[in-house]
Amino acid sequence: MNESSDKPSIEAEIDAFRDKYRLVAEYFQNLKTEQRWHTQNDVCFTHEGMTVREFHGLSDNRSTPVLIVYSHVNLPYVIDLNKQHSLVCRLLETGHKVFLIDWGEVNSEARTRDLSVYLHDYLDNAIDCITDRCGTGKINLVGICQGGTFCLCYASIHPEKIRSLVTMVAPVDFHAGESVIWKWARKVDFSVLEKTPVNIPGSMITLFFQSLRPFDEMMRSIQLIQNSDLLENLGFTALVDQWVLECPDQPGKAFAQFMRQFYQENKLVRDGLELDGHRINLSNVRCPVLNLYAAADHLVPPDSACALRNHIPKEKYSEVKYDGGHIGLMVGSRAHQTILPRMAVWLASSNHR
Amino acid sequence: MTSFQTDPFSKYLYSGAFYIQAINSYRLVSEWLVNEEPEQRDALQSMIKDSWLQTAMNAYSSPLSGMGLPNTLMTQANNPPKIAGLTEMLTRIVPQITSEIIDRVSSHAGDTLTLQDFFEVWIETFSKAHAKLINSEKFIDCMTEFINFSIKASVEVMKDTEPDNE
Repeated sequence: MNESSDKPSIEAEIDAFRDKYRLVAEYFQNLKTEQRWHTQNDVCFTHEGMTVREFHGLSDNRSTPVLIVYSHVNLPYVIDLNKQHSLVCRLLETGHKVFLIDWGEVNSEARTRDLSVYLHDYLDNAIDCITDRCGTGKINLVGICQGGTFCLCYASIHPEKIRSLVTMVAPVDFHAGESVIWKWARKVDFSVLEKTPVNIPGSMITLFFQSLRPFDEMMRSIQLIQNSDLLENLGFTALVDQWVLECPDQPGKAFAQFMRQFYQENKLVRDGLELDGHRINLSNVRCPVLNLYAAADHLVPPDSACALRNHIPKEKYSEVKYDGGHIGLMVGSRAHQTILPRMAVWLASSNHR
Repeated sequence: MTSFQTDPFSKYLYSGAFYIQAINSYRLVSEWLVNEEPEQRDALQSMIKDSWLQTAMNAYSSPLSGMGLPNTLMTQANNPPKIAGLTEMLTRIVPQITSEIIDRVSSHAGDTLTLQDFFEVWIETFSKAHAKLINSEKFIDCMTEFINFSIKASVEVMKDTEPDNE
C-alpha cells in the first residue's frame, strides 16, 4: 500500500463525509415534523383519555371494519407516516374501513391503572363503539407488537366479536428465542412497582431500546449521511427517527403487571393468565389468524412470534415471514410492496368466510 | 421518575464523530500495514479502545448514571449501584476487540485494504462484542441491580411526596 498516494484520498474521504454531514445537519435544523398523521382522520370515540380514530378513504361500506391495535410502548402514528409507508393506506386501498385505538396520555391517574383496563375494558369499549357505528356484529383486528399480544388475549375472551385477526411481530412465547428484553427483565423485582406504582418515563424506554444495538444504529446513521444527497430518503428517515425517540411514558402498574405476567412468568403460553376475572386461553381464539413475523427481529424473536402456531387450529392459522427487522415490517418499502398489501387482501377475503 | 432528553439529531452527531474516528484509524492501519512499526500498532490499539468505550458508555451512561432519578436522590441514597462495574466490563473486552480487528486487517498485508473493508471489520467487531456483552450474566446482573434500585428509589420518592398513594 502506498502511503503517499493514500493519504490524500483519506483526507478527501473525510472532507466529503464532513460536507455530507453538514448537509444532514442543515436539513435536520430546518426540519418540521409536526404533522403526525398522513391520512385525514377523526376521533370518533373517547373514554378516559383513550381515543378511537377513524381514517378517511374510499371504503367498501359492506366491509367489516378493521381496528389497528398498536403497542403501548411506542406511539401509533408510525402506521401512517406517508403514503408509501402507511399501513392505513394499504388497508384503505383495499376498501377497508380503518380505525385505530390510541391509548392516550399517561398521566398521574394512569399510574395505578390495572393492565386489564387497557387490555380488556378499553379494547372492549372501542370495539363496541366501532361495531355499533358500522352496524356490524364483528370486527377485524390488526395487532402490532404488544398490541398483537393484547388482541390475542381479547380474542380468547370474546371470540364472538372477532371476524379475523392479524398479528404483526407480536410476542407469544416470551421465553422463546431468548430475547434480550426477557433476559434483562427476568430478575427485576416488579412487585414493588405493582404495590406502589410509579409511571416509567418514555425517554427511559427510548434509551433502553437505543442501548440494545448502538453500533447498528451508528451504521444506519452513517449510511444515511453517506447517502444524504437523496433528500427523499432523508425526510422519511427523519420521520422514523423522530418516532423511535418518542416512546410514551408507561403506566406504572400495568407495565409492571405486563412485565411480570408475560415476560417473567410467560403466562400467555403456560396458561393461568387471568385478567379482571377473565381467564386467557389461546385455544379459545376461533377466528382465522394471520401471523406476520420478521426473521431479523431483535425485539420479538421469530420463535416467540411463531409459537402462536402451536395454539391455533391448523385450518385457521397461516403465517408469513418478512426478511427484515421489527420496524421494517411496519415501515419498510419491501413490506409495503409485498406483505402488507397481501395482508389487506387476506382481511378482505376473510370477510366472506 | 424524571425524564431524559432525547435529541433526534444527537445520534448523527455521535455517529459522524465515530466515523471520523474510524477513518483516522484506517489511516493508521494503512501506515502500519506498510511499516509495521510497534508505535503505530499501539496508537491503533489506543484508538480502538477509545472508540469502543466512548460509544458503549454513551449508550449506557445516561440511563445507568441515574436511571432517571434526581441527582440529589442518587447522592443521598445508601449504596447506590456503581457504574464502575460496567466500565470495568467494557474495558475487559478491549484486548479481545483490538486483537480481532488487528488480526482481520493483518490478512490484508500486501493487499489493498479499502476504507469500506476496514469500516466493515471495525463495526462488525464492535457489534459482535456488544451483543455478547449484553447477553452475559454479569452484565444482566449489573442491569438488574440498576433497574431494581431505580424502581425502589422512585417508589420511596412517591411515598414521601404522596403518602396516601402507597
